[in-house]
Amino acid sequence: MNKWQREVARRFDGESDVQPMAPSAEALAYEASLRQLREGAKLAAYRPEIADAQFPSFMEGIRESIEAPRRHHRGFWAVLSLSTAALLVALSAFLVFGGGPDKSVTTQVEAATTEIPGATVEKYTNEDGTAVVWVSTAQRDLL
Amino acid sequence: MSIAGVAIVLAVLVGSADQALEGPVTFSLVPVQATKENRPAGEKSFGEGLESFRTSLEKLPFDTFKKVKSDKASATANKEARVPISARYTLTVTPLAKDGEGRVRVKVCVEEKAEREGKKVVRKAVDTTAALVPGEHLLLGGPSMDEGRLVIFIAVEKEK
Repeated sequence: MNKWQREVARRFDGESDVQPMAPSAEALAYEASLRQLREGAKLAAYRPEIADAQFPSFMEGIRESIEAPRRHHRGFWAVLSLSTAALLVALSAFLVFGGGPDKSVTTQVEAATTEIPGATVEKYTNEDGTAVVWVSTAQRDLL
Repeated sequence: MSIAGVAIVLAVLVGSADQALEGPVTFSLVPVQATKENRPAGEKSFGEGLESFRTSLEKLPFDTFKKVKSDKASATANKEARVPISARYTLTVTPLAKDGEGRVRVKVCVEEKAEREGKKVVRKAVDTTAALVPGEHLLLGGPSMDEGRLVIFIAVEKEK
């Protein structure tokens, strides 16, 4: 800061009453920058305050925020689970009651026995897909 | 485990378990006598009414097939229906349940009147349990019948 700037600053702060006869353009610009700096400092120093009349509304806002239920995602998972369950039940019902036997389902022999002495039982599926139970005996049974 | 998990287990159980039968089940039964008549090689004779069984019968080591009868029988779940085939054989069919794939589980017996040590007895020449696809035949065969063998085609009739 040089001498003329100090003089401008003192005058700006009200510490000097000396008025220059013809202020230079630089001095005017410097004074304008000081004014801008002061306005900025005033704004930065502003502290919002809650007036007594505003206090009930302020507290009401805090209370609402505390008491409001917290949002979470359990509802989403419950809906997803129910939807999946409904889909599976519908699918099962369709398969059981809907289209009847599948083409790939074939007649199946679960068990086969005989009481003919000495005879044996075979179970197989022949070339045309027919399930067969065949009892092999001697032509003359042993009685 | 969520509801979805329970639903999956339920679906598997429902899909595989037997279901109760609703109403009577009707069976079609065709007993056939199969014999060897020493026909020329490759020549086989199929009696009247056996056209639809020809493919299955051709595979058997006999050359002559004669239909004994054609019959139907109905029974409700776990009730036995009896169909006489000849003086010697009686067929019994007992529907049990419907399985998870639409098949009818059925117990089928071919009872045979025989003699053992001078006493008349009834024995099971064939005793089988099978899951039948409605409209498809099960072939039971092998017990002796006169000079040949007894062959029986059994099917569950499709629901109308």
